Amino acid sequence: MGDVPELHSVLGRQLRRVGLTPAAPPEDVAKWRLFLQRVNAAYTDADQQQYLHDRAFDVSSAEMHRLTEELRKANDSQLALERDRLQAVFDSVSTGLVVLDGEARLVDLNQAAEQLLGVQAADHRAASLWSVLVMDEASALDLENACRANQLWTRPEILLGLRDGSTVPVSSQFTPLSSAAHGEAGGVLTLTDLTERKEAEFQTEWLASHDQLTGLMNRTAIFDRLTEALGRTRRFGVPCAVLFIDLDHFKLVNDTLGHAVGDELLIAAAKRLEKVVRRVDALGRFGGDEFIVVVERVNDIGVVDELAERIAATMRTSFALGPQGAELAYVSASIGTAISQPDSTAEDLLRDADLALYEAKRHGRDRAMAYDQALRRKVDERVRLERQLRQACDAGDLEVAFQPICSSADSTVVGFEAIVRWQRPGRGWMPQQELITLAEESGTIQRIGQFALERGVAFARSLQGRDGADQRFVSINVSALQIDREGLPEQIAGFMVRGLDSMPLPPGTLRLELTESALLSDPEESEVTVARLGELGVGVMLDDFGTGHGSLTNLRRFRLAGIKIDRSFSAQVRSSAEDRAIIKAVIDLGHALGADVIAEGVDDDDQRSTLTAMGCDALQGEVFSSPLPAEQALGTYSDLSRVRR
Amino acid sequence: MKATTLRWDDGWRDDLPAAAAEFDSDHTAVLVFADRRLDQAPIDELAAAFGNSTVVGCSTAGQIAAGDLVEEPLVALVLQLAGAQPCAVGITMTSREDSREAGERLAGDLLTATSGEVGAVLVFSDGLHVNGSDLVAGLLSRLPAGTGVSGGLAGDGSEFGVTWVLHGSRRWEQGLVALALPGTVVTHGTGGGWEGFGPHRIVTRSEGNVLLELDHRPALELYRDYLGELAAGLPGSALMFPLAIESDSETPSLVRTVLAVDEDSRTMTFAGDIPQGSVVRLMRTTKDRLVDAASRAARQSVQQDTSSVSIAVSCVGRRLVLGERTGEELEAVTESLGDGDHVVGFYSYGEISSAAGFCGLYNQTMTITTISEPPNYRDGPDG
Repeated sequence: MGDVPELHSVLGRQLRRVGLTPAAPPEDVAKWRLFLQRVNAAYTDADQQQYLHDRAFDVSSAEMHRLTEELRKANDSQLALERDRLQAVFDSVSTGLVVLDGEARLVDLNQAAEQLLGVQAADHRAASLWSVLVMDEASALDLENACRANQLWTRPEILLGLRDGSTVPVSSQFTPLSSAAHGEAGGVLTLTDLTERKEAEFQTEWLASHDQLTGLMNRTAIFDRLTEALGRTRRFGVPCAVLFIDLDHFKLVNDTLGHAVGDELLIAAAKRLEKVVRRVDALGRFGGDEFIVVVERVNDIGVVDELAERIAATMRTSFALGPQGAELAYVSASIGTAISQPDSTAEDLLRDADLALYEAKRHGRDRAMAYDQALRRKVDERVRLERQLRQACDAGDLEVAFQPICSSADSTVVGFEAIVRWQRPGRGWMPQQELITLAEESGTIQRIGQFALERGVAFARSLQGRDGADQRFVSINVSALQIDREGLPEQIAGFMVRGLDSMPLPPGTLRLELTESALLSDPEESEVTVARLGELGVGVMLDDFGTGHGSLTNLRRFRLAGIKIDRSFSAQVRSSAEDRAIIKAVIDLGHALGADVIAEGVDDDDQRSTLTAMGCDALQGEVFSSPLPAEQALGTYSDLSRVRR
Repeated sequence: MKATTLRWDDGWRDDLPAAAAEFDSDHTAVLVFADRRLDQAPIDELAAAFGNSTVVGCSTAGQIAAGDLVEEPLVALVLQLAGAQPCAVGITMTSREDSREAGERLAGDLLTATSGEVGAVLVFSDGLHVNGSDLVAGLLSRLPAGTGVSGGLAGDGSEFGVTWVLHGSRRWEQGLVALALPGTVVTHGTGGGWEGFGPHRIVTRSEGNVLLELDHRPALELYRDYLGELAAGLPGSALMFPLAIESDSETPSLVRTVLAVDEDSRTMTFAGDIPQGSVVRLMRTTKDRLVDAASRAARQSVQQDTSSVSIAVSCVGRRLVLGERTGEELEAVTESLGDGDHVVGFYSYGEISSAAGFCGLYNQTMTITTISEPPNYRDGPDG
């Protein structure tokens, strides 16, 4: 093509399309115009493309910039929100959180950690963890290694030393950052304060082993303590001792001054006991007003006796109770002591001490008695007696005798007392009081009481139809244990109408004899019972009056049919001016309450005439007749002259 | 198999009677690609001359013959098979929503007409009222598995006004025609050359192939922003920025070109589905990239058989970008195929191809379908 340069492919094609050649100028004007149009279009095309590209670049740049800004703002705000949330979570966690770097330096502390450690995070950032707490060296080394090596570190319980010198038990764990793989070391150390939990555990443990009222060890704990002591006794061959303490007349305080004061008394008594027992001795409340002291390493039995005496002495001082200590209470302590034998169990030793305590009570309270062989024999004897009594009950060897009660005015029989008797083989009749006590202790009192009731009612029924039967009564002794049982009036009502063919007993023909203690053990309950018996026509007589501790004021609650003066007074009526004064007072009291006054144990004419002169309404005793089998007693009834003197 | 090309521009540039005498037979298919505004007369002449042949075709956004964009308003590829007989069916769609059903119906009719022996299938469809994705899905659901389907959506220059399809001498809108070429060997190639740019956007509102909002902003507004003063040329100018529908790494992302805009409802209609919730991105290209992609498409479909013919269907969007340099992508195709004489085709509103194992609607691509017959048929119907 000579001097014609190489054409752009587009230009070449444009020339071809209009039928032109680059070698020669166009001859055809139309082709020239067409060519120019195409060239023009190519430029326009190029401009348009450039425009579009530039515009697309500008618009998309602006758009990307806007989006980036939006994203950044959204990110910033999201990050701030996330940071706020994390901070809130961080500070709201009650567990102490300590953020550490790979060198165990403080990065941050949450509020719980600040409180626990008593520091401000701002003051200790980048400082060593050991500037805010200390722990045992091995644990500290392990924790530093865990920080460096991104490992878990756990201590279920560890004691931390704080800057103020105090210590706090915590559960702690170090958890490495999950980003540790990216070269960031460190993590979060949790500190869970165990103080409250340990206090709660202690509290629970304390409650399980202590009496809440007095703070002394409870029954379970003192029993365990005794068992442990016996273990040591066996190992070292030195015996231990148990002191079984019971407060005398505690019930009276409770009844008269109220339970709150009673509790106060128990607390005060516990405090006195704590003062007198040695620090090495174990003291516990066994229940109610009973306390136990366990004394270990008893090389000298005198130590136990001395301690018992100190205890008895400390209880003799009056207790100032109630508001401002206005109520003075006098109690004493009965104490039973027992020394361990090589093969003693805790149960054995407690039983022995309890038996000794029982003996102390029987011997008039306010004293200590030691369990020994004599007591053992006594106990064995009692056990044998109880067994015999049960056998006698089963075999029907008991009998009920009836002792006439006669008018002091004319010696006519006004009634009979039904008396349960037991003749032990080769030993003669057992005294009635002894029999009743034995029955109560052996648990046969209910059977015996019922037996007496049956026979008594039968005897009363047999009296019916005879002259003046409606003027005479049959009295039956009722134990405190019987009256404690619910339904005594109903039981008696049942006896009174037993048998369809028998007539109901007329009112007044049946009386029950109750001791002061039986009647006054629960005055409210007794009042209901006595009233109910009254409705049934059954009178109640107060037995052995003068021997108990009953409050005279309580007697006004009851409509008593009679009061029986104890034989101990009758016996002394001639020789003791004091007894005569008491008898006189009882007679006046009885009459004031509208009750007959009957003297028991009138064995001779002197007593008879004196008591008659003092105003007793009726008399009972050998001077008239011994207790007689039912048939003979009926005879005395029909042969009045026999008992008239 | 043998072939020839005919062109018309105010008269036949080639000897129509001679060609008809040589080629017209029941083994012959005539593929017609023409300007939308073409008169009926040359079509009638062609159909009459090839009375024994199967004549199909469609309107275009530019005709391709002899491997170049040509000025002639009608080009025709006459293809005589040595073995089997071509067969064509045509139907009319009722609505865009009906596209899948229409595809199923068209495939059903073709199976009936060919007794099931369809071979390769060429499809030409209305270019404005069709959902191309649904159409292809409907076709594939009925055609035998593995059937190679290619073709394109009819065009209307850069007007987007009216398109038609042709069967025999009949032209009609909202039409679909399918041509079965049994016993042929068909290879496919496709190349785009577009790249996503700018932010990824979420389709926040769309209905089928009608796009309303991207990132809660009217899509049309976004396009106006990007086009600037060229927005006056909508919808055509929107072809400068097709949409890529991003997909997982397993399947290639789909490209969608705009077919129409509605200023009142501020909506844009695309050649295929724009699923709501999908992630899309604007695309752009350069002329060089388009040319390279065209070359790549041709290389994918090249066959050793020198008697093969290639049907090139390229996107109108590429033509708008290439402008005066449109011929360059066709030159690249010709170079890759080795011979441009039997490269015929058109610029379309959407390409259909089975290249790279994915049969479906393509946009903004150059697709090449190369057809030959096995050696034993090469010498003609009697050979």
